[in-house]
Amino acid sequence: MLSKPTFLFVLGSLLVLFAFPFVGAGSLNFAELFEPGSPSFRILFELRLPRLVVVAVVGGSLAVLGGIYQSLFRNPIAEPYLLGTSSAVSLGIVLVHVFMGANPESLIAVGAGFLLAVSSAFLLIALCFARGGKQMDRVILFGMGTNFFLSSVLFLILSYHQQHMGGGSLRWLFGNIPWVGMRQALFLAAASIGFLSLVFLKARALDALSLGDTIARSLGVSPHTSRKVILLLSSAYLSLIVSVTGAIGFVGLVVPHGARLLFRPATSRVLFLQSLLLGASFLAFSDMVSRAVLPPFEFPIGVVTTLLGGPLFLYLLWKR
Amino acid sequence: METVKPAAAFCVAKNIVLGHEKGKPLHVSDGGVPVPISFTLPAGQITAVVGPNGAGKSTLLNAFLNEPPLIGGSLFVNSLPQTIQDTSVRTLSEIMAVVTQESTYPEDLLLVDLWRLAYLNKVGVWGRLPSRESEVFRTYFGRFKLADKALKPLRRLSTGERQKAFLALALLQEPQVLLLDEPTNHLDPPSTQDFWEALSQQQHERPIDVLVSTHDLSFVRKYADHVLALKEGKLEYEGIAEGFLTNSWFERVYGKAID
Repeated sequence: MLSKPTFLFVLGSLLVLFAFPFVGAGSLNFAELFEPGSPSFRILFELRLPRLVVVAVVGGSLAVLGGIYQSLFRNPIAEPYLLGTSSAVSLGIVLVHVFMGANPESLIAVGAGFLLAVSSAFLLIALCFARGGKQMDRVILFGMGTNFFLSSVLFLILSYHQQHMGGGSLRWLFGNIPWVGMRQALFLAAASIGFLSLVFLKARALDALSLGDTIARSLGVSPHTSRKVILLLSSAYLSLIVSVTGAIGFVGLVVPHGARLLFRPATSRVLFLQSLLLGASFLAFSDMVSRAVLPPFEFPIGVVTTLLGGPLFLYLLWKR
Repeated sequence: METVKPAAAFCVAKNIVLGHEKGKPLHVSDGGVPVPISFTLPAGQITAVVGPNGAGKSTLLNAFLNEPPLIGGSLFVNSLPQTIQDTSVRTLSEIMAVVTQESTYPEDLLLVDLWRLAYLNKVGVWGRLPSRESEVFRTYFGRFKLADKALKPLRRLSTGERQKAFLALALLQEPQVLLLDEPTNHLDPPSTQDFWEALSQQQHERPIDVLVSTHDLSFVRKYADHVLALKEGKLEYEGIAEGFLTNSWFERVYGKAID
């Protein structure tokens, strides 16, 4: 039933996810693993398993969001980070954090991030689909313009308030996986399952939209409404992710592209499922590398994803 | 509300004004007022919409999908109780299908998966699409000479095969009205002929109301029953195809004689 590359891919991804809890600064004593309260038990259940959940959810989500953007903007290199939506979330959260003193993970901060994300995403849609979609090929230029502007404002605030932000300020620009407890990790996972189910159900509308607005209409899919609904959903989802990790780039670009080149998924639904698993294992692997190279020092995750993903991406493009 | 429709007509347009996306009229007369047009189209036949570039052919076809909506007048088709302007996208999609000049398409989408999308408005985004092995697809593989392409991604099809695939997608929706917007513009002569033959064969088996915008005069000669000729938004000719071909209407519309 499963083809050979699909089988190897699933096997490899699962191996990475299983190996993840056993890699890191402190080595685990296997005899102690199931003794509650022992150091190994606590490392496994209070640090590494929650981190695995966060990394897998964030990696899979960013990959799916990249796939959504590519389909929606009909451009193979569109993704929330490149088009400025992630910066918009970061800026919203940082604004509320710096000027109102709210916790970055509080509802008001995430809400502000969501508002800015929706505004920037809708601005992009308005620019691209004006004049009957004639500006569509400029989406990357529009998006990068938005991104430059938003990140500059963000950078301005961050550099002015550096002492206030402490060491955490870099994460809003480049992304960082935090150490969180199991409760927070599972909350993130539950929220993601909700969002992903909705995205999965909307995936067919994306297939119809990719045939052009006129054909989409004749298939009963209203282009303007569908785009708005999908962008609202993705912006809310992205805001949640960015509030936890900051803006991690490259996953949304490289993973769906890699999935396409490796497996040639026929429909958006299949692409999203493949991206979910590939994204989860890709970010888990990147995180392992970032912690395993020079323990206990952790490289920023965004740097590792780029270093790992960049050459792979070039290779896949070249092979095609 | 107008209810009077000639018996054998599928469409009645009364003083319609075509518009841009921005809500401005497509063409205005010298006095600065929009030019309304009216026509009646015969049911179960192929109507060719001809005219120079920019005459409003595509805009007229798109008006049937209400995108952009008409600025004035009323457009009726005989299966709807109200005007097209007052009809939802979902309802329009149940009676209309469309083939555009050149479609954007996901490169890796398989031909058969493209065709499964024809059932999207019947089952909704939640529902179950027919399986790849469905009997209904087999008919089109045979008729459109695409049998060996069923499991091929769209990027592996030639431009001509892809246009036929999109024609099949439109026909699979079992529309009452088929809108073809310069469907052979990017095709070479053999593929063009192939495309028209597929359409004409379909028309023999189950006649539907077909509206084709085209610059292909040989198509008008060979297949069209009825002609609508537009020039700068004005309706220059409306009537049977023979009348258009024999009375130098082509010259009047395009401003130049054609052999």
